[in-house]
Amino acid sequence: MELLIEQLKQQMIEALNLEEMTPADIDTDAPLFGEGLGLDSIDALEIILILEREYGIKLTNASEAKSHFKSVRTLAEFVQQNRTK
Amino acid sequence: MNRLAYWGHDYLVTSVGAGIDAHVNAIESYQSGLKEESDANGESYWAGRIDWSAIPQIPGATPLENLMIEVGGKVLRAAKVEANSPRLGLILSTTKGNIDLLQSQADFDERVLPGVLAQRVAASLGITTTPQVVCNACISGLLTIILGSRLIASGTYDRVLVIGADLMSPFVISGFRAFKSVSSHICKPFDASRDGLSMGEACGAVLLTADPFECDAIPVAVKGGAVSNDANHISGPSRTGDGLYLAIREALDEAQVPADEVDFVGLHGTATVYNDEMESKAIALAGLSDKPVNSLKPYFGHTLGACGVIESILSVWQLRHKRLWATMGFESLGTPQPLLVSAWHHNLSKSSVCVKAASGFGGCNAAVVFATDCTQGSELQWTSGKVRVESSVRLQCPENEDFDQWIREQYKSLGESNMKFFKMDRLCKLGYVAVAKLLAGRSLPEDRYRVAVVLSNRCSSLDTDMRHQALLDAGQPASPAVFVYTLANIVSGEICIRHQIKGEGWFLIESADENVSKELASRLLQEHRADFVLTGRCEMFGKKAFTCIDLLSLQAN
Repeated sequence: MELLIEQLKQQMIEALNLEEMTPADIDTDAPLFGEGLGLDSIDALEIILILEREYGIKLTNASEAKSHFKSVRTLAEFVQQNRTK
Repeated sequence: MNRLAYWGHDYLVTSVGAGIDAHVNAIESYQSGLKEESDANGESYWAGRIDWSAIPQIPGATPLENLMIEVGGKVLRAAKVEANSPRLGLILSTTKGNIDLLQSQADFDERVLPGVLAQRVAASLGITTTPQVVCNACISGLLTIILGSRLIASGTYDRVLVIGADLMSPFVISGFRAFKSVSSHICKPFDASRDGLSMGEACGAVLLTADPFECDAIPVAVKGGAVSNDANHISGPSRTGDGLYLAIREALDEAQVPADEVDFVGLHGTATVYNDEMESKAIALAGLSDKPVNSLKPYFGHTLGACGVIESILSVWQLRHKRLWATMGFESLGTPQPLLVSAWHHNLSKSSVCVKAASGFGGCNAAVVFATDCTQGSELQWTSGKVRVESSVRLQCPENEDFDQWIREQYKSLGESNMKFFKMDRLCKLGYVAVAKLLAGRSLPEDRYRVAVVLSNRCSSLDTDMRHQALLDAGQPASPAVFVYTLANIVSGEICIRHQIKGEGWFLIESADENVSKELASRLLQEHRADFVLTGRCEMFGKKAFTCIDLLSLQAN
């Protein structure tokens, strides 16, 4: 799980252009949107792409994803349960 | 100096058919031009494709050029005007122009530049004045009508031919689908079950004229038009609706029409959850909740740069026929504020004033007021006062330096810490840094509704267009974070968000004239539509990265 969390953080830093951030700078339990990391709706779509490309998880809309996108930890849990690759 | 612009001859081609009668007949019998199609993965969606067999092909012309020349030519011939008159202007509205030429093209084809497209269309139509191109996301069509009307009101031209068109290229389809904003059904604007838009391709043209009786139909005047910025988010509509509300209110003010006298509102109604939500809030703020509204997108889809033109054409014809067409497929209202929507066509007991609205990426909004009462509205306020350059900035990436490295250093020197900066594309980074430097140590007036942004360039968003196309060519999924920047006006949006600028916003593409933005900016000041304007050129393509932006005001006499 810790490995997956680290991997997700790295993939997010790259895909979301989180300039000058390292995985250590991202709080695993902090909110991804609004406060915390301050991501927005476009970032959410990019995370959906990460899930699709890297883990073979297909989400059809952003609202379906909402509950799993609270923090890096909830995202990692969702990936672990649903990954197809 | 003080005239109105009137609706002259018009013509349109959409998936519904060709010409006004074809549209009236199809819409009256509730026929949609949208058809189901599916992608390589077998996922289906509905789209509006036009019948290309009916569009004459000119040797050497692209499909979009053929379409614009056919539709624009039909209007000019019907109006029997001299195309080469110095009193006839041409304005094009397109978001992506000939973008499909980027596909599998080894050599760069300059026809992909919208300014080149405009010159080719003008030449083919025999128009000799310098064409203008508005490239401002989904409000482009309304902006061409507003700009054309103002050029007639100010006496610059007697007639302006406005042509709006966009095609359903794989470029655009892949992007919107990556945004998860395309419905798998026919779009259902304002409905509780709406789940996204349907895309379509179309072309519409209208001849705006100073002569109310030029065409054989009830005269309709363009009585008011206004533009505003949300300054909220580049792809998410305002959560309050205040930007669109402001545009509607200003357009009604200019037309001197109280909200009470509006007979119906043609909304943008894309059927995405957030757009329709925002529009309902704007309508409530504008005091128009008890007026019937509609969205025509279930008939031919969201046609991007064409939608403002074709939907205005059809709004004018509804006004003339005293009819309000149905938002086809509507079942139950699903917006936070009330909207008077119907699934059935209606006769209007009074039909003299219509508002047409649109909103788009970058946080832009526009509204136009059409009226059958052709007496003069408010006197166009005009000052011949001298335009003053308050301050200027010039930025150019040295040829031997790497742009990304260079702009990062420029940004660092501002001392800002805005995480969003690093997400921007190169064009936006360039404009963002330039304006931050321009405004450093200077405070804009409290009333940010009186500040406007007018920018132009030649290469549009081509730098990012190539990145999006490269993903497609490599068989990779489109990236929403890349696609959102394939609209040149997003740079204005980023500037407006950073400095909370909420006045008019225009992004023009240069054809023959490099000074288009400055001319428009000066007119905004002289017509008292803004107190300050940020204006200039912002160009980013390949090794070429430069911008020069001025802050203009009107010198007090």
